[in-house]
Amino acid sequence: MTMRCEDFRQRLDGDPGADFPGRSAHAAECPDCARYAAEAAVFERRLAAALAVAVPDFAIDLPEDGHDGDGGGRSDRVVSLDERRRGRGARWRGLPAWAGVAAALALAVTLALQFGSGPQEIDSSTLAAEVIAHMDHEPYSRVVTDEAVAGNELGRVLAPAVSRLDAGRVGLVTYAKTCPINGRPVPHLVVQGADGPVTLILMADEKLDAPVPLEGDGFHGIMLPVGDGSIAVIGEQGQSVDDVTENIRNAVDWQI
Amino acid sequence: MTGTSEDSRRHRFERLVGELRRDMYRYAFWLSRDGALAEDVVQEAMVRAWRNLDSLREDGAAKQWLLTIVRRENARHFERKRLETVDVDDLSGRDEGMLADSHDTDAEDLRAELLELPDEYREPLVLQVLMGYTTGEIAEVMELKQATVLTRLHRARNQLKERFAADGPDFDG
Repeated sequence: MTMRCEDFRQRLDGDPGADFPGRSAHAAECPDCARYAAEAAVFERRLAAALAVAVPDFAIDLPEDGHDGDGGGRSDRVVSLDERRRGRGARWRGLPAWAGVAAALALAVTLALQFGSGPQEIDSSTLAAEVIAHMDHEPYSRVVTDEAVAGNELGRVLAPAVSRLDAGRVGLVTYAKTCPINGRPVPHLVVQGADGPVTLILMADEKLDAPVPLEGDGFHGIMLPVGDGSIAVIGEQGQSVDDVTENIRNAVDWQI
Repeated sequence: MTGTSEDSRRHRFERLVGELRRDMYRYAFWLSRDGALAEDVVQEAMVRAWRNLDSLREDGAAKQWLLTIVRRENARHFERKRLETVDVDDLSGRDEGMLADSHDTDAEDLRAELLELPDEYREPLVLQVLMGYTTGEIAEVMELKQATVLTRLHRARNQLKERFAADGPDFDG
């Protein structure tokens, strides 16, 4: 035995992603630890999902009052948080009182759309903004992997919206989940494109007249009209999604 | 400082913070377990970072620098306020909108366990899983030995698995 099972599991729990010496050899000769490692991989995905936090769209505003330049911070300048809250209007540039109200309202609307309200008629730019915002929710989905989603899981996610998915065109699906977009549950997939993982949002009920480019904080892509619905194809900035975009056009039939 | 160098400094700051403010918020959220408080902590961290930007020699070190500032700002806040113990159920309910994908019941259950995890176990887990830090980098941020970090991560996962297995589904994928 290359290493003790206890050591293997302790190292794995400390850093599941680490390729520590003896890891592969031990897993190869110890079925119990190999199963433990497989379960640990599942747990890591769940852990990443549980830790995912939607980031509110708060502004970056620089203070007017210069900088210390001493590298060490100056605690004598730190006032209490309550004082800061009272004085924020004076400390932060370009934030009129109505901006806070507007920001809160925008956040409330976004959250309501995402988590509470039913579907609404929205224009393509609003839909595009919601799709891009959704990219922040599941960062753990966009990993380079050759581990396909189980067929029954993929079927479960697709079933309410999609009657046919041409697996040969789409390629390897490594993530599948039902997510809310415009108050509707839609399939959210990740496929392994030529240039990395590509996110697909399959929106059977969001009809578009023309393709809509998607641009976000670190992301880019396109929403394609497909029959009576649309499909968002999204990759990271600088990543080509052309191959997936080309292939997905004729790879999906919606449920009637 | 001339107008040009001030502009350059401002541009540098906006570029660095623009790229990293999401990580700053996520880290602040899991440190404080409160969305509104996390926003305050990030804003205050930005002020401190702006004032001390010249101490950051290499932009490549910005992430660790900013997260360390967030960590200290959060600690300062708790020292000042000495917040009362917050009920976890109340917290998770209040911040439901800030937590992604509330339709995933497994994630919700595990999230509830994460919120109950002791701070010293939750923090290295957040840095590792959410921020992609190595155990060496976590040790640096938390000012601990690497072996201590490994032990805390091991215990954190064990506690979560035990609690989650007791309350939730089997880990069958």
